[in-house]
Amino acid sequence: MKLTVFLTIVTLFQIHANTYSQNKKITLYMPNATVAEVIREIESHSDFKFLLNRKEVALDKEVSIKMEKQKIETVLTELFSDTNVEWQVVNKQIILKKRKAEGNFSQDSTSNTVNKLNAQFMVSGKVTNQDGLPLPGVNVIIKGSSAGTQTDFDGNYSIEAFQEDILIFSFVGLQTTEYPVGDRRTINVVMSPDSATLEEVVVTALGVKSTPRSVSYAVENVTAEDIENTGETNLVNSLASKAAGVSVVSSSGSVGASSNIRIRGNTSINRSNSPLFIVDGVPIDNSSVGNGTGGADNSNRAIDINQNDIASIDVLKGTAAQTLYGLRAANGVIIITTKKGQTGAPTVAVSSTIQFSEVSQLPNLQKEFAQGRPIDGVTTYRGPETGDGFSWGPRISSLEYDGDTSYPYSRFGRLVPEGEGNGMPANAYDHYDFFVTGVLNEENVSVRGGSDRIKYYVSGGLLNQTGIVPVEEFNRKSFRADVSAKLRDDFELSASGNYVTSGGSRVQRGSNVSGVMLGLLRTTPSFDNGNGLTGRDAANTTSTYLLPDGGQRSYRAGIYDNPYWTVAKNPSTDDVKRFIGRLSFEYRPLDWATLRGTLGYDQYSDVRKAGVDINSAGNPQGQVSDLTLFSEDINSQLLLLIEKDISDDITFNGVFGYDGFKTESLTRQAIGNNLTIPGFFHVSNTASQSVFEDVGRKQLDALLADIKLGYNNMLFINGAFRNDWSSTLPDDNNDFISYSVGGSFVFSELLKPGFLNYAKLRGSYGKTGNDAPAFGTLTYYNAANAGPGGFVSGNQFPIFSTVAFERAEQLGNAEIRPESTKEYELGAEFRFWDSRFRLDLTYYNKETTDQIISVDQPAVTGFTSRVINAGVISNEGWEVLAFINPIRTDNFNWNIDINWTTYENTTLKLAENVESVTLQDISASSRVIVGESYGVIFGSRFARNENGELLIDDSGYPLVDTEEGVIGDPIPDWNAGIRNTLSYKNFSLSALLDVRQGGDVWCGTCAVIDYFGTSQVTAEQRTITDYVFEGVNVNTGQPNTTEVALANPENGINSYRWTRYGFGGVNEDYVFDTSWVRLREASLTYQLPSSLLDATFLNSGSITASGRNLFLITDYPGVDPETNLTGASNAIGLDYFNQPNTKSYALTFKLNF
Amino acid sequence: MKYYKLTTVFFTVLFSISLLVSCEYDDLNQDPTRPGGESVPLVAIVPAMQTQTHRNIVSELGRYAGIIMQQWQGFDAQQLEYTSYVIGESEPDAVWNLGFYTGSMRDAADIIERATMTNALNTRGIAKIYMAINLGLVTNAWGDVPYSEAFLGQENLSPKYDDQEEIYASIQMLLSEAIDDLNADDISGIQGDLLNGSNEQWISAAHSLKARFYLEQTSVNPNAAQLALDELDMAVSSNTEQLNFQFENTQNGGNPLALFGFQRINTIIIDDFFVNLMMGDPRMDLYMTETDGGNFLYFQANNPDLFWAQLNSPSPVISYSETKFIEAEALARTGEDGTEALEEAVRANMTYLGITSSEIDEYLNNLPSISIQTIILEKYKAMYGQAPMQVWNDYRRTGFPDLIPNPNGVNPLNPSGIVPRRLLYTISQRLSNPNEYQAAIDSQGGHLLDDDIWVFPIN
Repeated sequence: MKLTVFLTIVTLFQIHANTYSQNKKITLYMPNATVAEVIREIESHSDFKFLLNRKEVALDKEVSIKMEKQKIETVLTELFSDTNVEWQVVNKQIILKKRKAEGNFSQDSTSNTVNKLNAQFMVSGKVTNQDGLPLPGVNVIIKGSSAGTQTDFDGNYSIEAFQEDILIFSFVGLQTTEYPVGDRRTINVVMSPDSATLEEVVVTALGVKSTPRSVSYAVENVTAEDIENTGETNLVNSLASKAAGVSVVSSSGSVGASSNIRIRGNTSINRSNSPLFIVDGVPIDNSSVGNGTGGADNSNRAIDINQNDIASIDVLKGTAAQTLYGLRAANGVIIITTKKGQTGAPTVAVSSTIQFSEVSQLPNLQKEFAQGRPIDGVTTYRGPETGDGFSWGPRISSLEYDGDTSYPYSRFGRLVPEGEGNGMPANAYDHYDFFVTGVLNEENVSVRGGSDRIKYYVSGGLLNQTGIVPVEEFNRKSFRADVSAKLRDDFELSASGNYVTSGGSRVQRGSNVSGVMLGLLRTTPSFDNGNGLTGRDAANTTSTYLLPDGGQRSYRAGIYDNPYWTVAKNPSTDDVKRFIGRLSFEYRPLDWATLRGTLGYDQYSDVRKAGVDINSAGNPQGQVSDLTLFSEDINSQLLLLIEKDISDDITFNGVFGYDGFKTESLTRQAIGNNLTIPGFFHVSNTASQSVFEDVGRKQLDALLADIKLGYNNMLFINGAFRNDWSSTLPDDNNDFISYSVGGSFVFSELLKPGFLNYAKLRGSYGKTGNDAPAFGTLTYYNAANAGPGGFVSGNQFPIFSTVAFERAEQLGNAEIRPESTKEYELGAEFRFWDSRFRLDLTYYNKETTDQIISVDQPAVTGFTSRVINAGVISNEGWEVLAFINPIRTDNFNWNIDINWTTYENTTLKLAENVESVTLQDISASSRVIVGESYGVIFGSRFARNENGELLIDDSGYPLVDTEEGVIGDPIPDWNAGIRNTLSYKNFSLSALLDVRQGGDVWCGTCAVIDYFGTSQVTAEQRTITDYVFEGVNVNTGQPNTTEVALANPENGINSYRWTRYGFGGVNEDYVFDTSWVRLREASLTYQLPSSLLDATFLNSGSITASGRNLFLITDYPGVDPETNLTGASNAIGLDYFNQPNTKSYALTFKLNF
Repeated sequence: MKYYKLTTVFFTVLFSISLLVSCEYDDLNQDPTRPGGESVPLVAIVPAMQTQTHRNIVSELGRYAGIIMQQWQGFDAQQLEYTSYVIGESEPDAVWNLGFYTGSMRDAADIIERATMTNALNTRGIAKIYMAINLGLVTNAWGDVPYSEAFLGQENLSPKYDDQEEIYASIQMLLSEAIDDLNADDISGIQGDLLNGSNEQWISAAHSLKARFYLEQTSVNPNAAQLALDELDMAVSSNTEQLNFQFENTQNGGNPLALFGFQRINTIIIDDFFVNLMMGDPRMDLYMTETDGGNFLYFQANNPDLFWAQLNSPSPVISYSETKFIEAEALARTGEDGTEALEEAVRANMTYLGITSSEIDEYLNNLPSISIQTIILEKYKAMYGQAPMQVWNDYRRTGFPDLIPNPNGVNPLNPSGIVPRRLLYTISQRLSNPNEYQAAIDSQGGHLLDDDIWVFPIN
């Protein structure tokens, strides 16, 4: 429910010129009125706006006019039949002028000038938009009169005014502003988009622009302003909490990390649930590769889009909205419109941002107890050389150093009991001084302009970002050109090209003994990872992490990597080179028919290298991985667009066409093991190698049709149809039909004007689907890999100078059908008090059947899975949008935008004998289980009786259920985004509050740091000796009263409350609610005043100070709970040594000239 | 009205096209990087079956057995939890699924089916031997397991669990058929054999294996020892005849015990029980090395002495030494004198490891007098690193060596706290074959770690 920028309007006018005036019918019954009253009447019952000079039009003239459902031309002809006024209709604007041939007819009809003492004088100036571009056609009116003018092509105007007059500048889609004339002779005006006006146009499927009133489903618009000051490098993150029904979860705060985006939840079990991204009508790749439980955080490819090039984003949410995209859009569509050229002299926009990031929430660590464990009943210090992983040793305060400077693990010597050393007390270290301040620099420049025939937009962007972890880096360079040429009045060619390089330096994370957080959080407080240094200094100083003998200096002698070691010795880089190009034409042989053809091309290479140096924990022999991805998508489209009035009351819009898609990907990887030269990460330096090659390819062809009928601009019905043929489906049955029907009813047209100025009901029903994964119809053989891992790598053939193949674990299925999603959606929109309060409600209900799932089957059948059509996922939710404009004065404006979402995403059915499908498993797992939420968290749990009480054994400890079960629901109860925007004169302040209620995450990190005794809770509670678990005794059934010591050294390490249930404890113990309130974004912008700019070459300029995640309130004990171990994958709710998130502060300068 | 007509025409055309046209994509939907089954020869599948089987012997199941049998102990993390008998339904899931049933056993079943069609009898013979070895490992760990209805793909999606007694019969049947197949004329010989064994070597290995599986039944079959003895005439008769799978000195082709050492440094170390037992034994330095911190490691990078912890450590199909231990015990159980066989068993093991004959002689001179306990204790030392499952089997049959259960070993997975008797059926079986899974548990009276399996009733 956001505003629409000027640019879109201009484009709209080009394509839809005069449709409004042709369609709109006017009914007037005014037997006795003045011209002014008639004009007012027309303006209030239509979107027409009159422009006139009060000196030229006799507004007091009495007329009598009676008309029923007439075109505006007819009305105007009648109205000015016997006057000297000539009129011109430019879409919704009606310009009235004195007929030139006529004589000096004008009369001063404004009686209020009588009292004015001063003479009129000429006021002139230039009107521009926020980007500094001139705005032609802006109405400039003197307040309280009908006198006015319009800006010319270069945005210039001049008008005669008195000193007391107030000039009102208005333009559709932009905020109306008023300026008192005073003594000024020059008034330059910068107009900003107006969120309080009705949005004039929405972009729907295939780039078709429609009036909001005619749309039968929810479409939400996000503007350039919404994403500009977010401080996010990843476009997906910028969308977080901006639109109802859109949920974004970033995998972590690593620079360049991927994010998981879902529109209205998940529909598919095995296929991607990520929406389709479309840029200027061409789908682009937003895949992400390599976000497993270990390794580095890798990007999702939407990160390649320079957000500065974006003019606006439309989010299509429901099936009906997506029908025209067919199979590819089962998960919603994000339609991105980029900035385009504009008629006029070239204008240059420059922006520059500097941002500082720091680590946000981290788990609490203890600083009281040293490394070690109980030996023979006594807590005993065991130093790094013992390899001991635990911090269940004695109090640090009971230890001191021995001062031996030859001791390699600490510059103060080894730790010994108090009294046995040099008297220097042992230190407790804060491991979080590892984190540094990340710095982002972003520079963008764009030039746009053009003539009425040729328009161009060229931009370049440069982004360099360092992370909060030393060596982390992400860079992006983007160059974009967009040109359109009107070769004939009825033929336009346009082309755009976007070249991007992106990539950087990543760090190891997750379930991975080289992971930064794993090594960091497990480190005992008595060991100094940096050996006196911190942050980048420590990472850049070899002696921090390297022992003189070449081994690793870490708290347990190289069993886990010292975080400084891993950032310095386990480099991981990626280098993406991408080209996205578009070529299209638009031919308009008839004024009601347009033929549009588009060819889109999206190609990239992603070259990655990951090195593991000798003596690293994960692979002490060292390793090099070279991974190269190539991807190419080609889209072609030919559409016939029709707009025509069928009768006086009925309008017709139609789209017919062909849509084709072809994709090919190639992945090649070479892994070399066992380095000879340390730190030289090249395959030639490895003793043995294994190589992999994967190919993905697919083709889709589709025919489509969409028609929309409108009645009196009040009632609309539409139907859409698309037939897809997919290469991934079995040959003899490879097509699939998507369809939808919908209607909208603007019933406010029937009501008397009142406080409710707009009201609409809408409803739609649609069916679409998801095709099969490539190559799913056959059973293949793979190069043999003797596994499973069991914590170690498999024996991957070719080995022993021998080739070996084995049958794949997945059984192919030649009978596979596409998934089918059916959805109905109902909505209502209301606008009150001149649109100052708006409400938009949507209810949707969708069900995906025939899920293509790779279901687990008993391995004893010889296959662990088979691809079948089975299962039903349902999705039901409410989306509420509200807009409130509580204060609107000349200088002060306050807008509140609210979006609120709730949904249930439930698995209704799976295949016979299939109780669950695992999405990701790491101790706890993310699964799909009948009757449960999608991605439900599953794992070990405590044994309970039928009342749900814990069963406690005679020792006083709870028993564990021998079977694992459901332990958490990752789907939030509701989400809300609340944005307050306040503007006062040249200042505007905006704050986006993000509220999430419910939604569980399994904190594997918390479990493991409890196990090792490094968490704060283990320091607080390890001395408790009289703890009574709440529950009932398993034998007696009576409430448990047995007191237990939570950590009694006498019973050995395996008896502790945090170790007795094994590594990671009982999963249920570590599932936490993630409800949060966060200030996701806040910004303060100052528009440079014209008084400052007048003397310069600048047209406009602004300074913005902004912040991201400035505060976060949550009970979640781990890192920021907006986190996901496996990034953009379907599995959710897992946190296992995920990289922490960040908060940041930025300063942005923008200048236009 | 002509627009209505236009629309109608468009829709009619569209529908007709969608009904009539079926786009042809030729082989676009065929993966060019993976072969289909028809183009894969036997010679390419046999190495997969063999590698996976030898991995299964010493990888996860081997580690569980070695930890349970106190040859190893976990030092931290998951391995430490196994040491106190926290081995739930999730842990061995991957090895059941990928190691066995869609790993080596699937490969063996695939080879048997293809070899039957192409009359490649010798190759079918070793596939049956490998199927028997793997079936032995899964039944040792889990008791009743699916076999007679297994490997049928979509034809049987919920195979039943065979009684363990039937499994043992199936194993013997497989080995007998294997011997027949290896004796049969087959012009193409054994295809793809990474061990390069002769038909005779494989036949003698099959007899040793038959003896092993008979001897496993000593608690439930009074004729077990005699049946084992009957096989030994034709069994493996020397270290040179013994078939060894040779891992190679690379990470890709490395022995999983060494890989575990490299990739999970010191999460498993030698257990105190085994350290004390091996004090003074000439094999001690080949099994373990002491650190400054006082721990005994089974693995140390760049320590070439540790026999079983090298990337290229071998994995015997069944050792000559084990064959002689079987003979010694079978003789003892049938009232004969197994001393000579026992001494030969120990000598064979030490010779294989490279101990000098004088050290061997000295060791044998100090050997206690023969008893089941002596035999099993010596076997416990000799089978270290090469056949951990056999060590656990022997314990469950005989109660030797006399282990003290881990004092923290009482948990709901192992309520009585005794040294575990089996593994739990894994979670994917519970979720994907629930009825048969439940039937198997019911017929065995439970599947917790302290529930017996049929062949090893607690003494």
